[in-house]
Amino acid sequence: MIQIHVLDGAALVWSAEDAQEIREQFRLVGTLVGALARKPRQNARLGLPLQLLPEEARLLVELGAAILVKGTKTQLPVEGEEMTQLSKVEAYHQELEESYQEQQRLARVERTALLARLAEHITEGRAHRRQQRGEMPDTVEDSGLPDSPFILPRGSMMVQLPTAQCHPGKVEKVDWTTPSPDWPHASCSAHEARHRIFRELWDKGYYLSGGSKFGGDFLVYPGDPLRFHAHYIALCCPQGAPLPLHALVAAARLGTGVKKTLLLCSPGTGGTVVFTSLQWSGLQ
Amino acid sequence: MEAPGCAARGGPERGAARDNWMATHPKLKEMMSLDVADSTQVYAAFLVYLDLLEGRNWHEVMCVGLADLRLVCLHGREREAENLQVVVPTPVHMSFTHERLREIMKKACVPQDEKDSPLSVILAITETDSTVVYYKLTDGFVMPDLPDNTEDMDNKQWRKKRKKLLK
Repeated sequence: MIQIHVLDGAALVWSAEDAQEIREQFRLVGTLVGALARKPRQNARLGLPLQLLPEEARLLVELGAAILVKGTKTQLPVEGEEMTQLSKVEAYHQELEESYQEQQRLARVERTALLARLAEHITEGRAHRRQQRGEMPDTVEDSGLPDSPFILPRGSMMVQLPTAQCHPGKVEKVDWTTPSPDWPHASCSAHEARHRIFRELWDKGYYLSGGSKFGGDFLVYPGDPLRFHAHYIALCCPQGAPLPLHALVAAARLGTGVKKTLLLCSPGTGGTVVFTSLQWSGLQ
Repeated sequence: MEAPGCAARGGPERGAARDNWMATHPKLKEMMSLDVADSTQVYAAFLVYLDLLEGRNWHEVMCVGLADLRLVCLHGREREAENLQVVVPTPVHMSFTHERLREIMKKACVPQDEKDSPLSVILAITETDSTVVYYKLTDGFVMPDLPDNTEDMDNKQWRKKRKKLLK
């Protein structure tokens, strides 16, 4: 069962296996929104967690593949638990120290090997420098090894940051049918309309993603977004919502400019959804 | 009153008629006589009529009144051999909903030769400065024109990119 963590209306998936399953089994893409531990100061490539659209999260729950959860408030540890907290901290520090010693050992071995490989170059360089300074060439061969053993600086140590919780924290299930602070979308009419349209497009076999970059509600792809450009920009028009012509022209023009068709979508009668395609007429 | 600088091909009466040539245009009179829509929509229809025939050189354009939609729409052919197309003129400030657009599509459309072709109209939106933009509305999903990949292959930029990738 996939766990979707909800926070203030955002749906997040923290497990890498779950994220893969969501994409491969369920044809839902989501967006990676986390910083990469080893490349933090950029946003060209982001990492876990995977943020799902409210419609994507609801679809997974409706299919019975996922549940919505939220973390319980951290409580003050009870007397018996307090000791175990300290021992956990101790154990963590112990692990860090062991990791550091191991890394230092491996660094020394590697450094020795490196110096051995470059021994010739080093002696050549030293002889050259002595010649330049006008000293007598040293008859005793330099071993090339430093006198004191190499110390790995603490700051250069590699530390693992787990992206899944090593010890899963307590979570409680969230009911997706009733509105709550962490899941306010339930029984919101705009969300219902959007979800109806999302479900219809997903049932037709398309891949869908957020459309805010193109001024729409969803982008509709014929296949995985990594392999295809989107064909349609879907714009949800709830029943009776006004559609000013200047907004329609702006949206249609944007669609033409990026080689996508604008798709107006509305929930129709009897649970159906009607679609209207809008394209530039091409009249010269 | 004769307008100064006006090349009067006929006598002074011609000059007077030239000043309000629009109001006396037989096509505009015909559209108003249909008595189905308000004056702003009729004026928009007239502008689109002129634009299609004079600006875009369509082969023929006829006006049709749709009473239950309260619209004057145009049926025309770009060239003699082409299919009939339905053009729905509208001033930019007219209010619409998606439902209204679909209602217009259902009622204004004419059946095409191919039975399975989806409902389609051209929405002609006129601005107050009399510019017209044309957008095609079709029922269902219409794939966009995708760029032709083989054309791009010969592109100099594409060749440079490939060199970088293969390095």
